[in-house]
Amino acid sequence: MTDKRKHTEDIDDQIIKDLFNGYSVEQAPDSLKSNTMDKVFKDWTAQKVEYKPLINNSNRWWILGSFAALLAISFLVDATVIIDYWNELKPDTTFINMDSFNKQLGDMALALKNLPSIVYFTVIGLFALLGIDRFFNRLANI
Amino acid sequence: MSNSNDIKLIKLVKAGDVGSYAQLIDNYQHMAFTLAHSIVKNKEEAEEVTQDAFFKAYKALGKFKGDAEFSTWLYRIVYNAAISKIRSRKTETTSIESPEVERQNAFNFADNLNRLEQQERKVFLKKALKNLKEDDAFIIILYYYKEQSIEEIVQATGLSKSNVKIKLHRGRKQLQTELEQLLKGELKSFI
Repeated sequence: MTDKRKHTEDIDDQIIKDLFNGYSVEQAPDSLKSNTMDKVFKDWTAQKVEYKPLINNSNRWWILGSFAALLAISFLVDATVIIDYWNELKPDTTFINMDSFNKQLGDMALALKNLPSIVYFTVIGLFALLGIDRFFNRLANI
Repeated sequence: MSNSNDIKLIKLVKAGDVGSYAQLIDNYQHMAFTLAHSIVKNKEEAEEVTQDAFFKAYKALGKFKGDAEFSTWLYRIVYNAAISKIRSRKTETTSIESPEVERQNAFNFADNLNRLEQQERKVFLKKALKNLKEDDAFIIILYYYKEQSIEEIVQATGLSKSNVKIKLHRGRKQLQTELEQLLKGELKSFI
């Protein structure tokens, strides 16, 4: 009895399989894709542009202040003082030649002095652009 | 439509190339529409459901890990959206294309059986599928047309394995009954 039932089911199954051989899916309306993409683009444009600052907001002023202080000190203190202090510590290394440190700093200052003014203006311009870009980015996200 | 190609497109969309999503819609819109229509039994609602499903899929692309095929994942969204749609129907309305009217039309149509053959099969099958109970047609199409396994259908519907088997069995029986009614017993000689 069970075998007979199974046999009938197999025949039914085959009939349906054969029927589906000629089956084709329905054509979705043309408006489907365009309407969906409209929704997708609308959602995409409504999304906020994520901006992740490299430095945390609260720490930014500490870092800027420290940097400004270090810069001011570096102008006030003679590099030889640092070298003398270093020599007093008598570091146990032969890899750092502190005598040439002063000379290198001097060379660097000279090199910066000899740079054409266009370089300075370009650097200032680049930073200004970055700043403006960030400013408008923020405005867009208000 | 390979899964690796789908995954490439999904990566592009996630990277900000939203236009690539149109390619995914191109690849699956007809099948998704057919499946939605098999449940809601109405073209306007099927379009609405399919649009909704594609949009939901876009919003949830971040959650798609690629463990299952994109198509299976999408069909599940279509299935859920379609089921929600029919559940949200508050009043039963009898549309012009009600099964009774269609059955009557089919009887008339069956008189001209000798004049139509291959095309007729498609029409009868589509009509019979339309008369099936809600998700039975969805499962039948995935099983017989897409040749998906029971496990894949389980993934696409979220139903249990035994439930899918029951629905498949019931759907097959009902489909045969519907076809027999449509063809007035001429089905077996026709096939």
